[in-house]
Amino acid sequence: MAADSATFFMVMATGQLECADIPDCNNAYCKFMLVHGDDWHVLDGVEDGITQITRKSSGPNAQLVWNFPIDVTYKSTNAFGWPQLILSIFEVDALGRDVIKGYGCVHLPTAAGRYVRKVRLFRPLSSSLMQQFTSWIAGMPAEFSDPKFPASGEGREVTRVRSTGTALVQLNIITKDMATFGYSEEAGPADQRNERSGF
Amino acid sequence: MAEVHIIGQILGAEGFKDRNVFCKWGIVAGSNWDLLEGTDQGQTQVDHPPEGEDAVWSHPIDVHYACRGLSGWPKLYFQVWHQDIHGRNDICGYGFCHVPTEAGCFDLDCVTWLPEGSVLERISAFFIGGGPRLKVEETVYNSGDRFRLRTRAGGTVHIQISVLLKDFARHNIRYR
Repeated sequence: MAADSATFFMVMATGQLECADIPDCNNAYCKFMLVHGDDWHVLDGVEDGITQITRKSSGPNAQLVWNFPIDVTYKSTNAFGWPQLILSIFEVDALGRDVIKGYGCVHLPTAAGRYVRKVRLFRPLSSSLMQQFTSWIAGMPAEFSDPKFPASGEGREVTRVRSTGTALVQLNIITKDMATFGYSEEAGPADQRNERSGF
Repeated sequence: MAEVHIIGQILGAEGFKDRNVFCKWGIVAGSNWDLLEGTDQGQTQVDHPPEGEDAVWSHPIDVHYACRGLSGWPKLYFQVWHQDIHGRNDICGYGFCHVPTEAGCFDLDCVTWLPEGSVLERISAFFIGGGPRLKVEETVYNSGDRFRLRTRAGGTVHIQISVLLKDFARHNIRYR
């Protein structure tokens, strides 16, 4: 059954949006979306989703827990445009409005294995002091007009952000036909240092 | 012709004297290397982290090279700049790191340095800002002509990248 050369390779990602730790945010949901290059196609699963609205537990290690499943399978002919997971976390405030609390982005790992990714979050700052003041009065801080902005490198030089908190994502990756397609065998989760603490 | 994908993120930075920093980055490769897809240079966002926290850039990198030879393996180089409240930019670190010559996922830390001027220049920089910069920026990633350059330490840039090598085994290149 195993062919000597494949015409495409497959990547399956499963996992979950586990939790987030954001100061001054008690009641929030997370929108996630996977973006990829032109050579990638979804075989199965959904690429975007929206979690429940969760409230922080009480206690010293209070976190926003979502435990939301991610399950998607891709096929591709080119590793360029490897899928990225974008998180946007919104707080539901006392008036029922959705207030942006942070954006984050991470590439899916390129080697098979189990990974826990700590995603640092950031939100944009208003471009002028006047807008900063009006958004403070209105209680609605600036958002990105394009939710896919965190996944692209363009226009970053004119963006000012404030980093706020982190999110934890679990990802399990399995690949098929990468080797027969010509890609080298890879080491798994190389360095666990990045997980759960610090960078 | 073998191919190399470099996929990942410039995560952020720590240990810089100033908090509000951004980074100009680029990838250089030798003449045997052709960039097929992706952008090989750019500039990150300016982060204003809370007191005591590290800067977050979360800047995606996705490049696809074809190579005719191994010499000139790609290097990442960084210039970290600080932006003050008036929007003025000042250099606070130069650094480079090689892309690993192995397939897999890597967390890289890139240490940085910056040129140090004479005592008089340091005093003037303390009061009005603006330290010395490199005239020839290739010095950052080339080994020639650094003798007698006086520098001091900057902070550390954190990078998370995956390297994917295609058709290396077919050309009998041992990559691990």
